[in-house]
Amino acid sequence: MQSDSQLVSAALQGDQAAFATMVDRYQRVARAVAFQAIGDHHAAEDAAQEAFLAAYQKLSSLREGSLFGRWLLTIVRRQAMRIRRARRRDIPLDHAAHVAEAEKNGLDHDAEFLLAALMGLPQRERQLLMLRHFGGHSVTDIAQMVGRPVGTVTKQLSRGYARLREQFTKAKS
Amino acid sequence: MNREEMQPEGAEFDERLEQVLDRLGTLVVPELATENDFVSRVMRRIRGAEVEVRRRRPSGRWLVRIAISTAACFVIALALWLTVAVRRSPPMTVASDKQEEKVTPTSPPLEAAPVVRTSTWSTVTENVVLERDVPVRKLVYREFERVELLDSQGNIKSHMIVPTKAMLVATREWY
Repeated sequence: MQSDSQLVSAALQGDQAAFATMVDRYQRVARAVAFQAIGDHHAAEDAAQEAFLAAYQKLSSLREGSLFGRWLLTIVRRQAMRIRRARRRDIPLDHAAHVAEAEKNGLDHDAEFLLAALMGLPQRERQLLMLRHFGGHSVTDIAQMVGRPVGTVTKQLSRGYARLREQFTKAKS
Repeated sequence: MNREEMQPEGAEFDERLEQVLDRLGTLVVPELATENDFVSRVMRRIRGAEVEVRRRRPSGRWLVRIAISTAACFVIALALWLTVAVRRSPPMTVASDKQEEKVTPTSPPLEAAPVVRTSTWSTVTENVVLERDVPVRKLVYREFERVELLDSQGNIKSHMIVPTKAMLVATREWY
């Protein structure tokens, strides 16, 4: 499996297939980040698409290929917030209650809390946890993607779990 | 999601958390009809819009960095040049006998040079000053040298203090 860094270099040389691999690799994580911000699956998909397009255009401004994941998720979040603002602006006031209801996104309280806690994690841990559980990648694959040893990735995942646990303990008490 | 499984107590919490996160993933990112659709849609849009990876250009931030580095180098070079220039032209101090007490060597004389009389200008060596029929005594300190002009009885008529390395120049100017 090629690392993000290698794929970014190839994409910068004009290899679109390399970028397609990146899209495949990060699409679920990108959609999840957008969904958390917007609360709607279709809009989240649109936001993720726009973000990949923007990322492709600005790929040369990325200084380190290994940081692609974190960089992309920042773009996704920004794009999602833009769509969310536009949606609010376009909806008449009397439908505001429906919008608020829709933005509850069909998740129960605990799931919503967990998602919010996940998004509040430090960038690196969040990226790894999302690749693992939302993207369905194995720890070994993730290590190859981000160009770090398996041990380091495992340690960072554990740290992420510990943080989530801490937040749950606080919330429950 | 089951509320009970998210109780943080218990050693199995991390294990449960991983399972819950997996399930959260399926809720947040439902499977598309075909996952490849998303990829192909993005790639179609990239090709359709004829989007190209923009070439890297030096950004404004880089230009500012380059300007700051250049300025810093200039300041360092100027400081070095001034240091060297000051060292090459040391200030010469000629003091009268009354001021003699004020001159306090930072260390005791390493060695007092013998008085040497000569009729021709010759040279100034490390410890001995050879001059035109003028009795001169040179005291070498760590940071400066003291040159004393003596009368025929060997009394000090006057003296001057010069930085050690500038001795030759100073002596020439004095005469």
